[in-house]
Amino acid sequence: MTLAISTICDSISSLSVSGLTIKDLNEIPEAITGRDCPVIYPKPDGFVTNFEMVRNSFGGGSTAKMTVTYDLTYRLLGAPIGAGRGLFDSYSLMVEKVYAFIDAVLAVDTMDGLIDIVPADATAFGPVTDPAGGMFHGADVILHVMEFVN
Amino acid sequence: MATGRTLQKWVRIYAGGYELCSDARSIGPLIWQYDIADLTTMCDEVRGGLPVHARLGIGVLNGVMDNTASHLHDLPITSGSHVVMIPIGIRAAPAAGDPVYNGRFYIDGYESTDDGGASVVNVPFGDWDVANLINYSKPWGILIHPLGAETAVNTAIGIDDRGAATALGGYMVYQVTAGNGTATIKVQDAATNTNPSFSDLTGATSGVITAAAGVSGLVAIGVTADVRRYLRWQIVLGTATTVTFVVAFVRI
Repeated sequence: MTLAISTICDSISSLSVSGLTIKDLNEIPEAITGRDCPVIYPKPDGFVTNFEMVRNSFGGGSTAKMTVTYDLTYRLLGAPIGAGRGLFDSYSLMVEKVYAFIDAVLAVDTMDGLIDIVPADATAFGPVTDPAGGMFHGADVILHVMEFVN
Repeated sequence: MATGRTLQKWVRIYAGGYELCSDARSIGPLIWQYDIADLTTMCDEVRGGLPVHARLGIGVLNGVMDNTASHLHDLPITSGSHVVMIPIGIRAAPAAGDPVYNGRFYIDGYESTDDGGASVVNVPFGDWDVANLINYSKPWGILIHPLGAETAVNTAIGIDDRGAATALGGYMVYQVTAGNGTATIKVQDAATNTNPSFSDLTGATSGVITAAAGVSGLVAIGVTADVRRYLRWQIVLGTATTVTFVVAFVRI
């Protein structure tokens, strides 16, 4: 078994969450419009954090059993700020989508590319930016991933 | 059956005909130890052991307090020792061919405590029930049928757990978690892995049981019994039309 970040991101993008577009690693948008929302994508700045490898057995790098863990941060955009008649018209929809996405991750039994995945944190609820700097109601969802090597 | 490492979330616990993994937080250690006699003389080149004086046990089951029918709280209420099966799935839910720890153990305690606000229980299990000893000291076998419902006889091929036939017997372990009548659960063996080749492994049968939650058994066959290379589960439905069960076999 080798590290499989592309497969993992593809698997995450294949999760089914009603009304939410989940982007793959190679689908990070350069800019988001209101029509694209709600959308969640790999957060380009700080996507992978807390990378850690623990060696589980003797042997060289090609044979030793190792456990690798890290966090993946996804950014969810619910709607552009001010898109509705009130400032917080779309806020509840954004929160619901965050929780629906977390629910989908919690329900994972097995996922191609990884050994285990759990939601680690949900942060930054409030005004967040898309890659182009536009302001949206959104949040960051952090997923804790475990992979086995060899 | 996949090979390689796995995670604890793929461990299942069946005891006394109950599926307990959804209540369990941890279990173990799964003990298989042999006494070492301190009778070594100066002329002995190695220290002696007692190869048939095994200690088996499953340690402490720690789980959440759940008094729903057929959950953890039901187990200590039923008297006697409990047949236990602990299949370990390999990065997936346990499948045929996966390792299973088996035995018959008493519950030594049932301790309800608080853990950060949640009510949890610790259930320490004792050694093998001395009133129900068998002629084998090996607890590890392989899963023949993962927990699931069956409504007809098995015509599928089996599994190759050892790569060859053996002639040292073994024992069958089963748990029934649901059913609606009588049935017989069996293990069959075959020299070639084709449906017509399978026949009943002599003695490896539950006999006619009333299939319902809370039914389990451990059935040993003769210590010199031939066990052919391939194994599979079989069911004979009596009045039952569906039986939900899990079966393992320990080949010696």
